[in-house]
Amino acid sequence: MKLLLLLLPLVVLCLCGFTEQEESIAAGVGTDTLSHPAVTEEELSGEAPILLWDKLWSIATEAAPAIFGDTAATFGGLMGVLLLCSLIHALRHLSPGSALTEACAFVTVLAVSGVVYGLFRDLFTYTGQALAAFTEYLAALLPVSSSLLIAGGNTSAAAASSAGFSLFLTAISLVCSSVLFPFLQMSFSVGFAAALPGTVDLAPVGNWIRSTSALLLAFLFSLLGFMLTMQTTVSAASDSFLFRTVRFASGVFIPVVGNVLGDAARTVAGSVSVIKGTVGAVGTAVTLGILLPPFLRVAAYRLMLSLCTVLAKLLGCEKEGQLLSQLGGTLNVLLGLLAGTEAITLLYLATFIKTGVAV
Amino acid sequence: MNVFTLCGFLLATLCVNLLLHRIAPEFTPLTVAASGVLLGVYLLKAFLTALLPLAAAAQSLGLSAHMELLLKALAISLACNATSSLCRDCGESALGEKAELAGKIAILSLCIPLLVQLLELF
Repeated sequence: MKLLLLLLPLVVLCLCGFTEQEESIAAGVGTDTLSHPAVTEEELSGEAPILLWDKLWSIATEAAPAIFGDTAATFGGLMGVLLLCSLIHALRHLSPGSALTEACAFVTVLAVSGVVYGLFRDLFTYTGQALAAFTEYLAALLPVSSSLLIAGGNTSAAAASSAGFSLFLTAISLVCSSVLFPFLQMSFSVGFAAALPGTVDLAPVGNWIRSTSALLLAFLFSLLGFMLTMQTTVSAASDSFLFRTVRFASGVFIPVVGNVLGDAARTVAGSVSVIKGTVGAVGTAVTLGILLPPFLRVAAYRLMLSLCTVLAKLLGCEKEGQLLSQLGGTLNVLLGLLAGTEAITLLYLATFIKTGVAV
Repeated sequence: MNVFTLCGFLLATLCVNLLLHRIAPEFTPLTVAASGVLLGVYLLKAFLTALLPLAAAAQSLGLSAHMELLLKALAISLACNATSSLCRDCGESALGEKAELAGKIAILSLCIPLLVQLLELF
């Protein structure tokens, strides 16, 4: 009992020291610079737990009313235009073969294109802004994660993962600035030209553009994901080997304090792993907070366009339905881009949390 | 819009036309034209009543320009189609074709501002 009473203050002192060490490491690597509306101050400091499913649910429920309200309003407007197109087509069928037929077909396709292009421009701008905000935030997270890996003894893993993730962020920035809008314009031009009356069937060209873009995105994400995971895992293994060698050498060759140094290194690594868990969870929550609303919006618009395509065909607007179907396919690529970005980031964060020296 | 009133009106016009065809056949196209105009005005009034909420929704969504374009195209098509049919009924198919051509030009000229606006976005 006396022994227990003597040991208890020692344990409490050790825990206090451990907490102080955690706080000083966290302050040193700059975790306070990672604040974002998606996480509270308590969550950022590690005082409150970050429950990712709750976070996911709250982000989705906060974004859903605005997204579905906008989608429903756009659906109403597009259906109004399609109803008028249907009326014009009905008139066209009253006198088939007349000079008015082609002019009517042209005006209906043009009106639908005008409506959909405005919608797509806004959607692509919104997604581009979200991706830009995401790369900006991840660029701020990168030094913190690298510092934590270095503090935990994973020097090579820090270099490998930060190099790989910097490449990923550069690729995403490049896609936002130079690929997103030209892709939209190209897909739109081909879709519009294919829907015009009297033109050759350009639908295969549109399909080729979309499938090539999807293939390139899939290749880029697979390559980056593989590279990021492999590089970090292999370099983390070599870091662990080096750490164990140094600990063993210090224990054997440095008399008296050698073992103490090894134990201190183990304590630091333990503190760092706790902070890494918090930083990783904050990164995951912020990634979801930034990328989930645009993903849900694009998905809602994709569904709305599919519904409009079916209704347009039911109303007898074949060409307009074809245009909507072609343009709806463009959103699949945008969804793929968002999902891939989110997947690679979550992979990076999971690897970051998991990576540590084997003490 | 009362469909029964519309059908009654069309049957009455048919009776008048059949009678006129025996008495004075040269006036038949005129009665057809007059009935067409009356029918058009009646339908337009009914259509506009149904369209007003749709137009308000389109305006709130910033789609009024596209709606306006489609409505103008619809009106031009209706007018030119009716004129062309009337001309053909009277045996003047060349005139009917001219009416359709005029409608085509009018619709295509309506499209130019939106087309330019769309091209400027690229």
